[in-house]
Amino acid sequence: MAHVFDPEVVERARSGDERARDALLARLETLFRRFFVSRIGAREEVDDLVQNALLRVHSSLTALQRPDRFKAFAMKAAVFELQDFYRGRYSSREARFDPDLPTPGSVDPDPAAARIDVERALETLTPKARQILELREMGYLYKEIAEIVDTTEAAVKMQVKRAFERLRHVLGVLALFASATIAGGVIL
Amino acid sequence: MKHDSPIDRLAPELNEVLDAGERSDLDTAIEQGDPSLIHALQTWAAASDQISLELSAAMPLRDLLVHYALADSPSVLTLDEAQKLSSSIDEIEAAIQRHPSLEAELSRIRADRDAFEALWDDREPEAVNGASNLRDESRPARAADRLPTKRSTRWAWRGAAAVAIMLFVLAAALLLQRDAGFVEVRAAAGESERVELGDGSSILLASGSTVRYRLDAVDRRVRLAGQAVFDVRQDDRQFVVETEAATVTVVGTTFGVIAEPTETLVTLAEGTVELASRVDPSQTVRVEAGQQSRVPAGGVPEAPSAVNLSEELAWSGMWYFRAETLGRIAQIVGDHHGVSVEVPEPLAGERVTGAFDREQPVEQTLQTLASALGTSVGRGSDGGYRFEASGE
Repeated sequence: MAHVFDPEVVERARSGDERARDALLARLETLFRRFFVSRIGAREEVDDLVQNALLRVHSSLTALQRPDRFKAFAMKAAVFELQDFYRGRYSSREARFDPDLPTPGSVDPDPAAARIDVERALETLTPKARQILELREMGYLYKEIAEIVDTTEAAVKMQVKRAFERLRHVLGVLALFASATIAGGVIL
Repeated sequence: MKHDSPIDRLAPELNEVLDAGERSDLDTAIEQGDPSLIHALQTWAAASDQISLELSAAMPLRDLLVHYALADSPSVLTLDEAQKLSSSIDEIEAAIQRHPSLEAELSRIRADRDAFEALWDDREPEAVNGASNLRDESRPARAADRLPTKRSTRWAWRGAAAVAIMLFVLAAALLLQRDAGFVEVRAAAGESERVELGDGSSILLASGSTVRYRLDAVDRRVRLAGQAVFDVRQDDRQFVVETEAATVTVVGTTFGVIAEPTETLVTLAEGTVELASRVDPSQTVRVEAGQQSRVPAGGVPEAPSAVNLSEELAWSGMWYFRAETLGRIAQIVGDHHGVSVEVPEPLAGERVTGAFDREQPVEQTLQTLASALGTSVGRGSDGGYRFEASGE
């Protein structure tokens, strides 16, 4: 008897043998489930990830040219599915807007000044903070970012907090300079 | 995701790192119309948008990045995938240069791959009727994947200039986060487990303890929950033990770490280690043999102090002697086993460094000591034991 991931069985599944295909997918389902749970925890999204990964395998099985490389084939399906999950985690960019937020009256709404503020804001980011924010942008949780950069989740979160504190400080100094310039006086 | 506050709407990544008190304070300030805070939040949101745009522009097609990450394994990419990757290599590597976070993502992709392959290789084979018995595809067994093996020998050597490498680790902290690519060994309750690593090092795990380790071309890394004794063989790679509070790196030949939820305690038997805080890795102390240093969780390492090794490591069920006289060792061993052990002068003054299993038969321990000192030990007239003086 052959093992279900044997190249011969994979070849039969690829060639249309339904029994071989069903055995293959059933075994893969277990493997995929264990994999996704191991990477993102026992979350409700795991069912969707498993089904999507099986669909990837099923829909592209006939294109598999090397049945002896089925492991890599299945692995890529799982990894790509996980990447889709990471990328889709956070809300879209359009949500970054709060119509109820009071307009800060003392800040010049000049777009040029706002552009400078953004540039200064980015400059205040340490390389580590920038890396963390980019990884979050890519869809990773802070816990996962901590694993990726080999530190603790607490340290990662502290980096973000400090980044905002630095930004507030720098903007406060910029505002002081701006108002002093406008007033024509000397900065004390 | 439901957005409940201005901070969450404008800066969700910041909102996540605030505790309830901080969030409440900021919300109050916003409601009161604090202009600088509002401006800072809006600027933060705009900066985050900019990061997103720059990343999207710099990042090559996601498929290519995944393939680039996986290409370090042979035979993973199809010919078509490899060709497409090859034509975009320059673009991908330029993007990675500009954005180091992409390099970090590559490591995550590879960790995902390693996790999948580990599960694949651990799977139970299932049969499909009617086909010939073909061998499963599997990766070659790594030395680091070997099952734990028993090691029954104990050792002792003469004098303070010992060259054997012993690492003592006692850890009571919860294990660090899940480690993809690491091999895990768990000691069952009531049983210790010895793990032989591929580099010749070994780990003695106390009952109920778990260790995860990874040996690669760059370094040897261990993460521990529970208690363990490490016997480390020196090679070109660093040997690093990580705890919740501290990172311990072998500088000399040995090091020891004791980790609890509130602190990490480093006790060193031989050589030198560098002890760093996990929170602020720039804060380090150097701990020498026979010394101990403490790192509180979230704190910095304290100045090292001298300790009694056997007392500090009594939990392991072993004795650790460092340049201890044979006379003293014989007394300790004899008292433990309830027998007399006579050691004539000047043999009693000979110094020994080594580790012994307390539950090992007393004859075995004494024979090991005798061999290390070039002498012999036999039964005494009172039913105890007696070392022969050199030349007798």
